[in-house]
Amino acid sequence: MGNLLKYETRKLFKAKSFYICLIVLAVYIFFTVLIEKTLYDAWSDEAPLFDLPTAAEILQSALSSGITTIILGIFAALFACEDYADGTIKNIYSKGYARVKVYFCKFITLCIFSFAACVISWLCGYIFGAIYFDSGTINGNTIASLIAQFVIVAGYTAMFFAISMVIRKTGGSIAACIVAPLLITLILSLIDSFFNLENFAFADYWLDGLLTSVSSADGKIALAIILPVIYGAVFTAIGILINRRQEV
Amino acid sequence: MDTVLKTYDLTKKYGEKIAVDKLNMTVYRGDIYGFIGKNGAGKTSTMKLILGLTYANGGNIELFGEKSLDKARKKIGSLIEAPGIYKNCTAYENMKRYSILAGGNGKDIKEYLDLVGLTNTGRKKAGAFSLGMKQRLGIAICLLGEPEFLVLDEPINGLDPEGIKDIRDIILRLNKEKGITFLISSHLLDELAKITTRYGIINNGILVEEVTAAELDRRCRSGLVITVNDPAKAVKLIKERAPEIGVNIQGGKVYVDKTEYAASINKYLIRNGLEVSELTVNHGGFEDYFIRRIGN
Repeated sequence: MGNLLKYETRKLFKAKSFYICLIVLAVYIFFTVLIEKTLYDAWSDEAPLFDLPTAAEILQSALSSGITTIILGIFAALFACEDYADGTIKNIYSKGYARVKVYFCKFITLCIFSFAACVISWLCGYIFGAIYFDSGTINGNTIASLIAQFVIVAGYTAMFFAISMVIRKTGGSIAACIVAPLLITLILSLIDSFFNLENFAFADYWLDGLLTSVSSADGKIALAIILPVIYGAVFTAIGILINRRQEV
Repeated sequence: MDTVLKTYDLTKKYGEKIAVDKLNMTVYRGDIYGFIGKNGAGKTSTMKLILGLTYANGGNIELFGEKSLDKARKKIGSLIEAPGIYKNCTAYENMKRYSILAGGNGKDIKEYLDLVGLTNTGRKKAGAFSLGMKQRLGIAICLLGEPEFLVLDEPINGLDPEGIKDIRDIILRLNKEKGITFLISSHLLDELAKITTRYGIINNGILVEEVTAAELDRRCRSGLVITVNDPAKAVKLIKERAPEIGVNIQGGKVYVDKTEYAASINKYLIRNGLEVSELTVNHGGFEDYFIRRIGN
């Protein structure tokens, strides 16, 4: 398994798409902060539209914009499907590596990208935020929130990876990874509208809702860590069950 | 003899179609096993089963005498269908990746690129290689990790005559110097005949015949094929009358290695009370033999 991990990580760090995706994230966050600053400056003489954010708040909310999950979904599809597109998956399986091991090694490697995406988003959010606004305070709650955010992103990673390893075609996987989160959120919202429960909404317990919750100051951290682990385990199990019987 | 590969009633179905039908084949250590069949005969399906790329519907495979196939497959190198190469990477980067996968340290990369004639590709991406260059890179990749057994599916596809000769020489050299066993499928019978030590002929998923190269060579020579009611008596009579003629029995028929005496042999056998139901002149050639066996 060590050789397989080294192989996958070499592929990861040699992929141009790895760096392009991280740069896109950084640029997006820069423009988000710039737009926020520009809007505030435009309206600050009259009634301000919103309270001035701090760099710490921008750091905490950096992942909740939605672009992170889109970038993650696209990269997961590119990374997972590369071996199928090039036919190189034959060379891996024919060397006696079990399908489950291959699945886990690829998933672990993809999580490295997810972690890098989170770190870049947070760093850029804080640095650009500190340039234009006050620094704010990073405390234990902030750190707990960031940890929970990474676990949620890992849950998304498991979902996107499972989708890609089942579809195994780059184009179809990218499309599915972009559409799937939107579809799930839509379905949950429809269910919530149907049941119309007073103090409970299914959408709040999905990855998207959890990410929005912990990106603000009073999110439920424990739930935001436990639920994505469960979702990740379910998606991983489904992905492995389907992928291991697929012909190459 | 030490076996590298043995299959027991190996079966593979795609829906209703039986691609591999209770196949029992044996590849011995040191063999260059030529696997021959028409398009769609089951060659690639069999190779995929051996390599674990697809799952059997029945039967077993034994590799290197071991039942644990994952462990045994680490000693195998393969080239199945189109070469699996990273199109956005150079030849060296492709080799480097697979060297890591095979647990190697990368020191043999240059040696294998030299061997297949891809030393000077520089920064050219593998996706821009010609078909022949991709094939050579595929062969170099399957040599990584010092395999004991190479499974090659149409390895000389797309190669020019010089390239075919180079690959043939590489196979012979690796077989002789490193004792690597080969399982090679090809449509180019004449090319295969130059290197193969054993043949397996497959048709409609069934292994029609396994035969050594020497035996096949003997069968493919020109001669007479006589169907007679008492083959043993026929052989005795011919040997007594003309001891210099080579004659033997195969599959219930009498084979004579000379075509010139067809009429006199026929007359002689009949005069001695034998019933000759068929006498054909076999003009020889591997292709004819193969077509006859597939037809049977």
